[in-house]
Amino acid sequence: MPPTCSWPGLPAAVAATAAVASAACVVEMDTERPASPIGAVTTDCVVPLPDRGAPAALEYPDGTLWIFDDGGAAFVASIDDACAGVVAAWPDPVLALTAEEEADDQTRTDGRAWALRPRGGVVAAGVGYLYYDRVLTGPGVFDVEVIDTGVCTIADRPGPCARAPAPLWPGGARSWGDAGFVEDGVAYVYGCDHLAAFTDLCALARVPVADVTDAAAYAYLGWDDAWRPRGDDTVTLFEAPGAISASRHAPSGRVMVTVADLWDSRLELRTAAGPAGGFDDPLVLFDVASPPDWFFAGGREHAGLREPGALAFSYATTAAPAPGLHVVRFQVADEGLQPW
Amino acid sequence: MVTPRAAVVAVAVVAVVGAGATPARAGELTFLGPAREISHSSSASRDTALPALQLGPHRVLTGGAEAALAALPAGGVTWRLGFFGMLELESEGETTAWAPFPQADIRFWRGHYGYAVAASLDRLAARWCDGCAVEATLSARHESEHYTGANDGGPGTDYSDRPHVGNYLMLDVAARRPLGAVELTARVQYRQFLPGQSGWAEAPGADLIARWRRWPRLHPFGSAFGEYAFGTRGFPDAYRVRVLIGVMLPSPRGDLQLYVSGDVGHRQGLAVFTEERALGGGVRLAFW
Repeated sequence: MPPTCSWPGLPAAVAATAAVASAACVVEMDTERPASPIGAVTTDCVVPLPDRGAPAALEYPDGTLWIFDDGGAAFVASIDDACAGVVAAWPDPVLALTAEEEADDQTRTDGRAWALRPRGGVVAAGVGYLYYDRVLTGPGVFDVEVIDTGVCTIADRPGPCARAPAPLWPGGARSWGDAGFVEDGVAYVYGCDHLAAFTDLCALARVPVADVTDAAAYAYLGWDDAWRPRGDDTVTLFEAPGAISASRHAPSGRVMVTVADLWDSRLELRTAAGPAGGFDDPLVLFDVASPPDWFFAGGREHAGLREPGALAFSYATTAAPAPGLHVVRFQVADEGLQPW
Repeated sequence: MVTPRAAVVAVAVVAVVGAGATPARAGELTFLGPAREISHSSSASRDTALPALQLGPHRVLTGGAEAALAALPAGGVTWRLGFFGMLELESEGETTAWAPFPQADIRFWRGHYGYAVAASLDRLAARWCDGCAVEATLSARHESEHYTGANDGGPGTDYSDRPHVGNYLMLDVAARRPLGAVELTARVQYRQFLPGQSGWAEAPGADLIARWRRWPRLHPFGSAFGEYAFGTRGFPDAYRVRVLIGVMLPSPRGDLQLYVSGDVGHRQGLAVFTEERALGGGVRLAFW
């Protein structure tokens, strides 16, 4: 930063003296950032597999199922396995277009095509429930229109995700499914909607696991902590400009939500006593290398890959010197997730 | 509602009123007087509680006072129970205009107060030399950092990742010795922050001050202060070195200090992540 010192409004003689005396009134030498107050990265590896971007995930007790935008999937059992490229085979695609959607693509002449974008989900009793957006893409890169949000079920491993026949929420309205977890037979599902530039609002829905595919069974957290039947009558719990993940952190007993802060290129953590909040101020987890002209992708915490005292994350970046899908082991300090 | 600006004025008024108190005398319990035998008022530290106006490059308005609530000389030692309080408003940018008053944004403000017990070793100092002083002070203080939001209720700024000074104990030991017309003062201090109540762990620092009593109505002086604060819970370390060079205009009620300043290191308050070097100047009113 160049020296600045204008001393405006001073009489000329005084200003000249001041200018000589203070040729460099303020020179900014550095601007620093805090490291994490709750732990540190001990492993950050690039997964040695073909680049498929950043995955959504379903967290199983024995590992994480990564689900990519291309419909493919990979099951990872540990951080070390991910870093070694050891993944369990999973039939492609785990999430597929219907015959009607494929037929529609064949007849389209507007340059658009159907696609399914996995968001996140929950696992209960070995069954995975994946929320996804059904979108029309093209003709341009940014011409993506969300038509609706649905859910599919993975009843057997490895196997396909069977889409529920009816969507849960229409496009253009609030929707859920970016992250969630199950407690006492109830799925708590967070959803973040891009309301405006720099404004992504996250809210909470809950549903009995047995009724995950039934849109009418969902209830939504309102401003008064009451569960309401309408999704447009919900309260914002936190903001998240990027991917989120949510889980119960067993050692601390707290609900933890991680947020990918795309603007500051870092991951943050918020914790609360329960799924409905109130969440503490965000804590820095670690910085992520973003490409100079764009953002990193993903940035989710994987409960299925946790180790004693450590959290596991994935994110994708095109930034040198290590482009690709990264897996991170984050060692948590003893008092790490306790409220400060 | 008490605004930061009103609080600065109030503290300044307390300082002015208190300036007329009679100093403690041997063997007599007295109330309201200097908090220390070796005044802290000529320290270059920004944590100096007195009315001050730093004109630039960042305008800083300070109101504060450090006073003994009670003093008791006993056994060659004068004990003082003191109060320390100050508020400081600081601009994020630089001074933008000078007339009729220096103008700048008011972005950051700090509140800083606490209590202290000072022990002036009078007998020991008298053996050392005429005019010498040796003093140890233990303080318990709290500092909090804030910023001024939009008056129209607009969106705020997320400063949640900034460290707070919080609560701490400070031990400082000072010595003063005249060498002819030059009065030298040295002080070493150590701040121990309370675990879980601060973004810092500990911070050693030191003062060195020279005051030349060359003329009865004008005393050139130089004052340097340095401090290194060790961060905790992920917050980076911070350091500050500050030098004041100027003149003191003595009066029966205290000193008027006019100075130019040089700062190197991290800013204070919520701007602490910014490391810079700056030249500026200002005026301070030192009643004790």
